Amino acid sequence: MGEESVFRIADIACPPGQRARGRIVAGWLDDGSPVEVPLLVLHGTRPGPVFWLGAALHGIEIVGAEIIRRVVWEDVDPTDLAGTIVGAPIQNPLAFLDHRYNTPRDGLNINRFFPGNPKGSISEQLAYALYTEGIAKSDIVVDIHANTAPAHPFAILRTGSDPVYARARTLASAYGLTILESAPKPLSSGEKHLAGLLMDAALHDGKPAVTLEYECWTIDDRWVQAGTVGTLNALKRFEMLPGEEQPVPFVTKIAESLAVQVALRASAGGVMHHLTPPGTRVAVGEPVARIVDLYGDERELFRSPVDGYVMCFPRYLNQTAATGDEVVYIAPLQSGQMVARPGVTA
Amino acid sequence: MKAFAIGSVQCEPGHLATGHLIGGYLENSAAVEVPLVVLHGTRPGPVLWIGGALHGPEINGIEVIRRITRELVAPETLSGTVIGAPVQNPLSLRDHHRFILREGADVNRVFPGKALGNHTQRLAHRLFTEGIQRADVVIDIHSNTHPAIDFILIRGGSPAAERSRELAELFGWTLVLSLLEQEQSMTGTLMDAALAAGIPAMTLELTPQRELHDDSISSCCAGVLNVMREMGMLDEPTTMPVRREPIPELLGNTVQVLAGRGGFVHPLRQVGTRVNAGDSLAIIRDAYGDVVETIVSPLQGYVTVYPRYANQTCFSGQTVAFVNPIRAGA
Repeated sequence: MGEESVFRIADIACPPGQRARGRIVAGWLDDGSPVEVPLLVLHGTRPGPVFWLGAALHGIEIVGAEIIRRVVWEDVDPTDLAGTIVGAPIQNPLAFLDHRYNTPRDGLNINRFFPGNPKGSISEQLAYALYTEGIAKSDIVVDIHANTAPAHPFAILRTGSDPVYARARTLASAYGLTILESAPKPLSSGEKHLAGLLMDAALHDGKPAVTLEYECWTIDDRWVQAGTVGTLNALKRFEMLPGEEQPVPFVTKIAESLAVQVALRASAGGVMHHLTPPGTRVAVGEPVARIVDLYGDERELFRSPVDGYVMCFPRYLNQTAATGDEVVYIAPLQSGQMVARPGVTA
Repeated sequence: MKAFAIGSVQCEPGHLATGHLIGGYLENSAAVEVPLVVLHGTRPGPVLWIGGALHGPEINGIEVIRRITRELVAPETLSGTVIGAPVQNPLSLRDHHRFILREGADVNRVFPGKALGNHTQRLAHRLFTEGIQRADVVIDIHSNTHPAIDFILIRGGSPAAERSRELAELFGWTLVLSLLEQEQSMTGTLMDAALAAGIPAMTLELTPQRELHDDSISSCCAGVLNVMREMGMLDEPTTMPVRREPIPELLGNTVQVLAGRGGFVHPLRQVGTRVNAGDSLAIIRDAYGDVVETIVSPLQGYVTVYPRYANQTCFSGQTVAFVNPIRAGA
């Protein structure tokens, strides 16, 4: 490969068989310093697709940064690689600096505003810069997220008749995770729907894409290993690496067909007590959690509104809840019954 | 036997009663209520104060107090009185934060507080004068971030401190004899105010923050019951505790090891293991994967905690590890 095969993205020019680093400048702070999205590039010696591996789009979901490090620096030799890996370990540097889920300045969940808006608030501009300067130059997109512990790790997959959805399933299933399926969603439609995700923008442009969910705040070696092996499997499936796929450690895949999770929200306030561990099958009406006040009295009992599996007990920081907080995620069985039509979230 | 009165609580003998102390007032004139759960026995005896959540993320004490008052101790069989204060700092619990955010202050550094001080000092003053001062023994339940070992902080140098140590031994946990005169920054604690008033007091550190894990909570409850037996509050013999952690020696004041650089923190040791001066404790990597700093122990001792704010990341000046030396000659 000659000079024309140098891979260029943002401020990076990476020759074949090399690693390189750089950044997307996604905005500017009050003191004039840039909002930098760090990028790592691993450019193969043979032609092939560009694989985007992103993490920490929400500032507390840091485990993917370590998955990227292992893949880029330890597990893939660029001379074995066909194509290019672009790692973006901290896709939302502002939320990351504040240890926050949302971008602090505008309070937005950036993962509802893709492909972004160059004239919008900081989250929308950050989404726009990430998309146009990074993801638009990729062919395959993996966005690594994390739920609060305790959680059952899973992948969110869009389904549809376009061939891109079949390729997205191929991608998602490489990770060995339980898969939650939902219909494709419109772009940039804000908080009301689980829509405008980074992966939605990628799928809209014909790129197979998936959202992975492990556990947040920590760099748990189980999920690092699972994500690393899953990524190597995906690279093999798309013929970017030679070799056999390996079993993914530490994750369990629920075989039944599941829809994207429903969220139960608290009416009362107090300490959350979890009644069944994530990954457990529950029937409609089965108790899954309760809120106990500071005096020790039960204030609210949560029952599953669906036949499905408990995925996670989300929390802000403490294992406590205030009115309106999401406190339980349950993935409904596609074939199961549902007593109401609860809100959908992620 | 008379009723026991504290704050808004009037507890008849042989009963459980709930109520609150008023810690201060907010802009909307609402009271900041410190909830209380009182178990008043049928026979005379000492008063035990069990406090939780003096720091907002440290919620384990809430569940310890719930189990002690609702499940493990029947007031009909109790001698004396248990005052449970599951959330000693309600504003910090609401914010899920260690500090009272509007003042940026740590209430556990300003005890016994000031009647006419700022909000933080007033909260400490009301807790102390209306509650803690009335106790014969004080157990203040805190929590460290994961990974950490469970331990108990005690002081020395007074009969009350010596008695605290005897009682703390009944938990079977690692003990840190943290001498006040050797403290760099941890002064003015609730425990210090109680000890200065001649009340035996200890600070428990459970694991982790923010979550309720049964192993730490169950062990703490067993220890509290043992203290109550030793105090004569339960008509049962004191039992020998099962040691939960592998540190056999008494430890000395915590040395906090700070980060110079910022990034992702990767601990290199299991908590509870021994290190020598110069041993590496953790590495800090930047977002590109480069090691930007290796954190080295400045002393011989045991690694007890790898503290973090929320993420497993750090910035300059943040504490990355606690190392406790072996307490010589104790």
